[in-house]
Parts: sequence; structure tokens; C-alpha cells
Amino acid sequence: MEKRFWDGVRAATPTVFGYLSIGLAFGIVAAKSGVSPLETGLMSLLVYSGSGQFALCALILAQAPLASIALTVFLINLRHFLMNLHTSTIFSRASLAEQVLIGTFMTDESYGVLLGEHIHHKAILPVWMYGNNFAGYVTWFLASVTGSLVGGLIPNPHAFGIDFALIAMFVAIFASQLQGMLQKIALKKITWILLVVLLAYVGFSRFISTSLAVLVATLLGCLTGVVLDD
Amino acid sequence: MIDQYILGAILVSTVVTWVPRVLPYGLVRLAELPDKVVKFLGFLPLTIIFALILSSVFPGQIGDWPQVQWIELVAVVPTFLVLGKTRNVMLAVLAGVLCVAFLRYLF
Repeated sequence: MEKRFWDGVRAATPTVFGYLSIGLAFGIVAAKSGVSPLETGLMSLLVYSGSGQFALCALILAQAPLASIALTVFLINLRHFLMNLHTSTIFSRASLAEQVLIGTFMTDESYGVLLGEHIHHKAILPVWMYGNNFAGYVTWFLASVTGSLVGGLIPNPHAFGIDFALIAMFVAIFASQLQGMLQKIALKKITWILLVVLLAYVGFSRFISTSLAVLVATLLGCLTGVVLDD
Repeated sequence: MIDQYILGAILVSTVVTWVPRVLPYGLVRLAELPDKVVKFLGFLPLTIIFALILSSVFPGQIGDWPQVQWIELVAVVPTFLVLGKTRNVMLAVLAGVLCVAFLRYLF
């Protein structure tokens, strides 16, 4: 049976809990940076990028020029280019409009959920991905506006550990990716790839921002995979 | 209600975030991806998910080695154990969250 919109929403459950917690935290940070609830909502609807929006609030607080805001947010979100290039191979038969709709609302987390699904089912409907994407989008919008409006009144969501849902979900997705890879590729090669990612991340994060270090480490890891194959 | 500068900041951020998100779908229509690139992208799930976990557990700081988020690092263990035992992602996530909540309560 093919999976539809609501199956996608259900698959995004850990994302929803994670965004609830981090969205509330973001709303509180935005309010403290002098961004109004209306502006916070607009930002969540239009920019829709967790790490990008946290950086954006810091830059707004510092009254940074628009050009440096553009460059910083661009570099933070550049990894989306890679994820969507890969996603285009998963939804290769979808129309351009469907693909743009998928790409516009895809995040690290919904991409991760997609990868988890792709391990088990090679044919995935765009509507399943819409459900997966929009569950996160709606949650992020509502949570960030709520955080901005009532941030001072609610208990600190951090204390409940709900933000860890995102890391835990990535750990689960990583485990299933690793399992899938081990059936095609030797353990030794996978170990080399992961070692390169680890060393590149640790080394580069001393000189460039965390999000750029993630991008560089990812690129070098993929490169190692291609080079070692030959 | 909406500050001109903040609106400008939101709009430029929207453009620079949206373009990398949708550009790939246009590019692959102009030319088919070379085999090498497809192979390269095949490693992306493993490497990017690993790198994102690293960035959450060891957030970077320019000029210094990454910090260690001990609570999150410890909580990865029960997440893995429950996942291995039950094969259930939701239960594994729940175990990790409960572990973090407990550790944050203690420390």
C-alpha cells in the first residue's frame, strides 16, 4: 500500500516534538533580540531554517548590514543544496512544481525522515513528503510565535529534554543508514569515511562556523567514498 | 509593527535560503547528473547525518576545540540500546529524551 499525506505527518512525529521545544526556545530568543511576534512569525514562515533564524536574530540584534546577513545565512544553509540534489534523485519522476514544493519546505530533519523511509521503500509519493515537511513547518511556525508571545510565562522547555528528540532521531536514522550501507560497502571503507568526517569536523570547526564545518566535513566524507571506490 | 530593517533582513534571508533549496531541481533538468556525482551523493545520507550529530553533541567554537555536551553524549547510549532492542524509533527517541530530562534535573 502506498503511503499518503498523513503517513508522512506520522513519520515526522519526532520532528514535531523537537521543533515544538526548539521553536519555543527560538521565539524566546527572538523576543529578546527585539524581534516582534509578528516579525517572528513572518521569519518562521519565510526563512524556515532553525540555525539560520537563530543566527539572523543575533545579526539583527547587532544591526549587521543586509549584505553580511545575506552571506552568513546563505553559508549556514548551503548544505540544503546538497540534500536537495540528492532528493532530486529520489523524486526523479515528480514534476518540477512538485519538486519545488518538496525542496522549499525540506529541512535537515524531514530529509532525515525521508532517508529512513527510503531504506525500506524505494518508491515514495510526493504527498508523503508533503506530510513529512508540513508537519514540521506548521509546528515550527506555531511554536516560535508562541515562544515569542508568552516566552516569559512558560517553564523552560530545555529542562524537559524534548530538544534531544532531534538528536535521538538522527541517531536512529544514522543506525539504519549504517546498516543499509554495510550490506553494500565494506566496514573498513565506511570506517574511513566516518573518520574523515569526524576529523574534518573537529579540525575545521576551530576556524569556521559549525554549520560550515558540517558542510566541509560532509563534502570530504563523500569525496573519500568516491575516491576509495576506485 | 514591522521594522523596515528587520523586514529587509527577513527578505534577503528568505532568498538566500530558498535558492539553494530549489536550484538543484532546475539544474538536474538542464543536464543529467554525471555518474561520479550520483555516486558522491550516495554517501551523503551517511556523512551528513553523522556530521549533524557531531555538531549537536560537539558544537564548534572558532579558535578552540569543539565543546562536549556531556548530557547529550551520555543520552546517545540509551537511545542506541532501546533502538537495538526494540527496533522502534519512537521508543528510542522517548528513552533519549527521558534520559536528558533526568540528567538536566540532576546537573
